[in-house]
Amino acid sequence: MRNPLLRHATVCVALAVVLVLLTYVFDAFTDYKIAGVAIFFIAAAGLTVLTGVNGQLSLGHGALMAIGAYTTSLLLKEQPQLPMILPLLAAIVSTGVAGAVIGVAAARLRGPYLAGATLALAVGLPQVAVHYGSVFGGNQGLPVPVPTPPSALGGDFPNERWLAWIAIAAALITLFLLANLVSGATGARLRAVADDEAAASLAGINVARIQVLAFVVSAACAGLAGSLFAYWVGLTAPSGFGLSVSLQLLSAIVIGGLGSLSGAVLGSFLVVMAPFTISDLAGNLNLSSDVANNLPLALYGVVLIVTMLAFPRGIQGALFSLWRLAKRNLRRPQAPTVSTTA
Amino acid sequence: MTQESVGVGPTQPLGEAPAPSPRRERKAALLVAPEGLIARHRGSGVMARTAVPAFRTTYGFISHNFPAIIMIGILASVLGVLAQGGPTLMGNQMRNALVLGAIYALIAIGYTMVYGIIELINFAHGDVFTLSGFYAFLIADHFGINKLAASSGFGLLVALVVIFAVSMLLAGITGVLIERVAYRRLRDAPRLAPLITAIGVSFLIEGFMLAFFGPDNVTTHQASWINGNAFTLGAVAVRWTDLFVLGMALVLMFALGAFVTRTRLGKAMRSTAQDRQAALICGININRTIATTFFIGSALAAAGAIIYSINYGSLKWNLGFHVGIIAFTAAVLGGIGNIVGAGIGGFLIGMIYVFGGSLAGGAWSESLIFAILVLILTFRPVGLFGVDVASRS
Amino acid sequence: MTPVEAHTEGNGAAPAAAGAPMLELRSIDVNYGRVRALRGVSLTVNEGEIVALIGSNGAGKTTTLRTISGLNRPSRGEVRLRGVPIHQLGAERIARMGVAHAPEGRRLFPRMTVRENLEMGAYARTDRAGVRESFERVFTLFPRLKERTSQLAGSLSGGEQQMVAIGRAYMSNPQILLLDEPSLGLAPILVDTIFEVIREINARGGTILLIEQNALLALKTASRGYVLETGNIALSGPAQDLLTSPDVQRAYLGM
Repeated sequence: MRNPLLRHATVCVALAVVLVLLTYVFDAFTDYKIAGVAIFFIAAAGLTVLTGVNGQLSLGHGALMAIGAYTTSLLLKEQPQLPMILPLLAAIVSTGVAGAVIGVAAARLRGPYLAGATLALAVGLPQVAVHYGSVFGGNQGLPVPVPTPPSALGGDFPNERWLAWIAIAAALITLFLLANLVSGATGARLRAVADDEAAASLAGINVARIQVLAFVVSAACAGLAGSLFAYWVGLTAPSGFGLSVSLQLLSAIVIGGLGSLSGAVLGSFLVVMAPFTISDLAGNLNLSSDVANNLPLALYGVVLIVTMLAFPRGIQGALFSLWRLAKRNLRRPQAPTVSTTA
Repeated sequence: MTQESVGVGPTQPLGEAPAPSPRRERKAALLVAPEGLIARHRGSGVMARTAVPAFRTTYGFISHNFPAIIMIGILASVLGVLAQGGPTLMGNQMRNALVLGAIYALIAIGYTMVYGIIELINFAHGDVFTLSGFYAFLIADHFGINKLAASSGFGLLVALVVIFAVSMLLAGITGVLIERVAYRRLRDAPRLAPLITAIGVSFLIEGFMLAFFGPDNVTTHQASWINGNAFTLGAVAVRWTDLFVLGMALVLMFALGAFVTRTRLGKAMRSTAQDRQAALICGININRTIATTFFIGSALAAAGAIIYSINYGSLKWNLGFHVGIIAFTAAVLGGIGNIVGAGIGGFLIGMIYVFGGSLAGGAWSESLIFAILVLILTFRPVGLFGVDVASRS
Repeated sequence: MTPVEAHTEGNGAAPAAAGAPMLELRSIDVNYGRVRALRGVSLTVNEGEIVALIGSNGAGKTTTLRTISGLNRPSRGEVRLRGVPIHQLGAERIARMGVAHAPEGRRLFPRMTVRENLEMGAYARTDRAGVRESFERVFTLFPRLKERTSQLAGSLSGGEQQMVAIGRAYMSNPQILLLDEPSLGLAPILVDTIFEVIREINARGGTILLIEQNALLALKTASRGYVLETGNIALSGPAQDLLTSPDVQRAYLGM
């Protein structure tokens, strides 16, 4: 299919069908985890546009997710009966605006300085929620009601599956929009700025504007993810959006394969699922409960290190090299390696 | 202000010679600095280009005088504390600020050295700090060092020498191992790859400490090592501990300064930081040089951890996370890559933390630090003593 | 520019005055990703001679030097220093074996003093007396640098930086000196100074492989020359012959 719009749409619809069918196959807890991967992917995909495609490092996307989550929670605190779409949209808008402000400030920062600024955001912003406890609920946070499936789906339709559907829908819409953005002219500009700012600006690209745009798009995704995250957890509290969330997002996109949306999918899957698997594993190892409870963090660290050492260009990059290798071997059946094995 | 500086890449592109710079030299302040400091020169970017002239002038003024403004701010808060609590409170807080500053400075140097030489924000550094604190704790408890320290003045001296030497050695080895295992193979990989392994190492060390020392504060016994007051200034009691801590930090920092400027290996470190390929063709062993950098950075963090332990008497598995972020801020304040800057930045951050927190309320100390960080990055992205990129490109 | 296939490689072209082969490249290929930068480059530098490698921008001159000093790795072929293969070694080892490289763009340590830059050139040496002697020799060759010893290299003029670059390479007391475009961006009078020093180093027995875009100057200084075109050696021979070769004159000397 030559038309990228059509191709992206086809992929997204196919994925939607497969994923929705899968939610029927799995139990409620697995559906819940799928929802987690989908939510995480939304933020990771946004970060891919910013860091992977546009080359701006952000260690503060956890804080942007917090903005989305608090927007949603505060709205629901005032108007508990709002249809779910409104808090989601409000979160996208508010975080997008925050992203624009941060983007303007960040457009003059590079490398470690941008990292430092976004790091300050990641650590500082959740503290605001603690300092102004009367509004934001302090360390206890704000509760978020569990979204209930419409009655048309039947009385025994599990909440987890409904949440998974919403998260999948949001993730696929995000994927579709971002895939079109990245493969289009804007994507080319984003990449040009990442490659060489001076050359890009000589080519007539307004570098600062493109960088702010990347921040806005990326923040909007983080806002949507944060809002869904609030529903997923059922609570919005500062501890849920610490620096570790930002670091995990970054890990996901780098491990998956920096700059590619499918890499973000792979990375999100790994980063969300690994802690669950590791906890199960540690639970089965017959360790003392103290060690078993606290070991997962260390094992998670090991997973990050080993994956990165094995695939410095990410899993996506490794798959790509493998594919190229396979293609080359298929094309040249008389290659010496083949004849010696024959 | 009108000059548009072109972004300088992470490494100096081939064929681009540093043009002669008529600017004054600040040799002492530029011990180790990254070759491709990527921050833009102040005066570029969105604000400077679009803002109205009046705003631009104000911005330029603040940007230019930022070090002075920070100093005036600190001085004002010191005077504020004086007005609030009299000379006693001010003296006590000054003592606290210097001790805290010494710890931040020792950690910040590790961040800045590693960034200077391999352009990596070493996320594991704060955790190496905590881990080496636990090394010292274990050594002191298991080898009778605590008893030795309590026995006599001479015993205390021996105990201090042993605990510093052994912990710093172990921490240095830890740092070298981390670099060898998690970073070296990724030296030519995409820039973010080692950042992720650094995060992984951080999680690994934290998880390890969590598993072995538990989630709560661990009381170390080094707080009782040094007792008594050295002298009193008015109502301010200066303890021997305070003098020792500060003296130790200063001695280590000056020793590092001498190492970096005088010795062969120190010069190799600086040259590798400035141009790795050029260092290679001079026959410098890059791997050994980078390993040395990690060794020194980690050993200094260990010294900071022991000082922390002596002063506060407890450690916690995730201590390095918070302390590390603040120390990283100190490194950025001093201009990342700049060793002297990191040292001074550490003390400044200590002052801001203590005096600002004293005025605004302790809960705000950290927020204040991050507000300062944002201010630095807005007005002076290269830090107080950073390398002026525009004069080199 | 016509790719001339008149490549006459061999020691027969070398003048009788030159000694044994110091440096030999044998059918070197270098790839940058999928782009082949050098294909089948062979050249020889004999002890005590100046060899010029000329060619236009992008012909692969700098790549050749970087391959010799180990900054690039050949995908095929051999580099030998006094008969010992070095193409598998790291740049640091090659430098310690006596290959000194004054690279493109000078690549000084900008925030170190002139003296420190020169010291780094002698980093691998352990003979203190010899190093002191080398300092004296560099200061004799470039008296300008003696006045600038405690100045930061980044604050020097372009010509002075080139002097430091050559001086730094020379400080290692090398077997062979690789010079990459020493005349680039310098005022004519400085170019003369630099080339005088190159001849002086050679007169004292130094072996030099010189890259230049200024083909006339390079061939006048060198005893032999090679012409590199899009990654191939197109021509080689005594510098005098190359100077009078119509191909070289048309393509590189603007005659």
